[in-house]
Amino acid sequence: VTARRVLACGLLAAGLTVAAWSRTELRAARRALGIGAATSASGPAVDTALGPAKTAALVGSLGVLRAAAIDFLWLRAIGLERRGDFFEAVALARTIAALQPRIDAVWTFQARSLAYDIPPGMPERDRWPWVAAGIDLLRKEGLDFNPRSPSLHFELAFIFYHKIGGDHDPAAPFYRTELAREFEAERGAERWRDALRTARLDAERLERLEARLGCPLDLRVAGAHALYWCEQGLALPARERDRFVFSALKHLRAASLLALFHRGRPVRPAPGGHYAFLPDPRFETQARQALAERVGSKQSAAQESPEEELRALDAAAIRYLFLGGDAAAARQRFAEAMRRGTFPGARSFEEFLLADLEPTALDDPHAARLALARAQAGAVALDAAGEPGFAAGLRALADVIRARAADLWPGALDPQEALPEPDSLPFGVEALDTARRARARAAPGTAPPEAPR
Amino acid sequence: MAPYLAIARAACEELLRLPACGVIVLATLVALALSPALAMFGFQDDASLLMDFGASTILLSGALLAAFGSSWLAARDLDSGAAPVVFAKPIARGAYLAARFAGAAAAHLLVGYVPALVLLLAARHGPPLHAGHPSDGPVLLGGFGGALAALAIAAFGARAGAGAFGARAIKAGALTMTAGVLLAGTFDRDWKAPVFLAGFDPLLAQAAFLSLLGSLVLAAAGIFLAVVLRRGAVAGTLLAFAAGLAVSGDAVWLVVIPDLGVFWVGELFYQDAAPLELRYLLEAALYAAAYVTACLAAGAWFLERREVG
Repeated sequence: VTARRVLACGLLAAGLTVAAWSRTELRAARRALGIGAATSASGPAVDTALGPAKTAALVGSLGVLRAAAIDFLWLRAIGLERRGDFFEAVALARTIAALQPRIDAVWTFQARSLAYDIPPGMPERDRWPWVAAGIDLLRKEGLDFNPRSPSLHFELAFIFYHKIGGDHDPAAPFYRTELAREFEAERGAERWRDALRTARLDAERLERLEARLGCPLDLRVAGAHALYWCEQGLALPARERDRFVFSALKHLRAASLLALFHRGRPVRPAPGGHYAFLPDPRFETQARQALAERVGSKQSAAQESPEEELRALDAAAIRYLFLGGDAAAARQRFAEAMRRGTFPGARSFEEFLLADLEPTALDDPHAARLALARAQAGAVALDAAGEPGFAAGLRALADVIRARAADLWPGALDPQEALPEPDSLPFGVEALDTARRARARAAPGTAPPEAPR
Repeated sequence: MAPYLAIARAACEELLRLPACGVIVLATLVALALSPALAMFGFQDDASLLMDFGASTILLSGALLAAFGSSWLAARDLDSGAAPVVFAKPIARGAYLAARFAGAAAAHLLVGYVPALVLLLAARHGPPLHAGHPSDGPVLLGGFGGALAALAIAAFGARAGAGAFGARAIKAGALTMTAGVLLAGTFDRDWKAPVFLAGFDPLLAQAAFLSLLGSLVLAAAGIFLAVVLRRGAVAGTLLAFAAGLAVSGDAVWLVVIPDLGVFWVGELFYQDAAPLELRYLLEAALYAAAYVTACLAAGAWFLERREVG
């Protein structure tokens, strides 16, 4: 009996030893295969094959019933969404995600609901947490489970580009300011690195991207995030079934570079104000290359062709040179473009300039005075915000308006006459003009939106 | 050797004749046959979902069989006095457990093999992409023909008094469904003859094999728990299944929990991955063999220490 017990103990020890060794080998092999472990840059480890331990047992023990449950829950979630019950739809989608976290559509459905469907029902200042929750869901949980999903990268980039960077939501200035505040710390400082980790941005990848672009990315700008996630998505292995997503990612990448070119330079606001975003000509070359790659590609009838976009980019580059304070360079570049026949409709540099920046300035003397007031108030606001280059550009623009108005209506613009109150400022820099904001607050109905505290 | 073979054969037959076994096999087959329709709501991932669900269903049915079959039978024999009679022959207790496991393993493989073939057929057919999606004739003929043939053979055998209907249907099903898969593998959807077995996913076959290995590990754990817990063995085996799916981390002590995660490769279906390397399959088999050895050795040690009967 003793011999049999010793034999049993020996076999037990040998069995456990071999099992421990082979388990270690198998787990290493699984990590190499990209299964059973998170592969995102700095996310929490999803260490079991079926997801977090708390859901793994449930998911694994349902077997094929999981399919029936997912079908039922999907139909219900879509029904709820159509009825406008977005909170319930999101709650159901979370259950679906627990049952099948490897389907990227589960995450994009939730993120869209959080970022797009729920916020319009909220006051503007309360919307940001929902948009942020949609973004966090994608870049944390969604990408932990599906690190190789181009759809999730696209969705993430799109929310940054469209929801935060665009002007389709009246609360977009709030979103941009909140995002900018997360990255206000000095680059490289511990707080900045914390923000990087929270946003799941990999410092090394960011540096590689910046090296390719030839200039640093300011993460206070939504376009920089959109570009980062587009680049991440495009770096994934291309699969046949994802070709549409890859094509969309390329378009979004070009659009993000254009957005950085047009509004890639953040200007810190006075307390209580919103960030303003000025043009950043450093991205012109990259935006031009991205657009040139798309020349000849199929476009829908509603879309501007890449050729037209390139022409618009040329025009914007000349205007931004002028507004940046380098009027001579702008004039030279305009002359070169005219020689190439890029702007067939333009007659003079001044007309070309005003056609986009102040198209109504020469309608009548009052419109000219209003345009003059806008340019001068914008220059004051930019001076106060520490942007002397663009302030000088706006003063030069005011000079152009004054000169053209003097040609058209001699004596109509009296230098001694007080200018009217401007209705808006160029580049959305009214947020910087605290005096104007205070006046606007005093006049109910015209107040610009407040930044949330 | 003969007594041990007799114990193994009896354990296998007993398990196959259990009503619970018939219910588990039937439910698994119905679920797998319906899985193309159930998985058709997964956006672009319908086929991946089908395979993922199928592999998990085989693992789940193996776990249920381990709990309500292998573990329950072992506990019943130890409790009822059937095992002590065998020990009095004399037969070594460890060898008894090994023979019992060998029989249970044979039954597990047989019971898992038939659903694995059905899963291969279901995956080859695939989820319908739209209302007018054409059916895969060879698959339907091979699958339903094989199933009907197995039922006919079992009915004929039962009428002739040659064994229980359920056990005979499973044994016959292993043969007829193999023939069905070979038939479907010979032809494509349009009844043309391309490369043999084209359209069957080798990764799915590997996943089914790994699920079967997982069920063997659970069967061994169930037998060990029957020795230790007796009546509580069924619940213990189900708990071991849940713990085995949820276990994570690299701590050495975790080796006592059956790590079912290593037998789970369902995620690869979503990654358009190539079939697993042979090394992975061999290491998984080695892990299963080592864990089974440890369970049986621990069970034998417990049996040697206590009075039985």
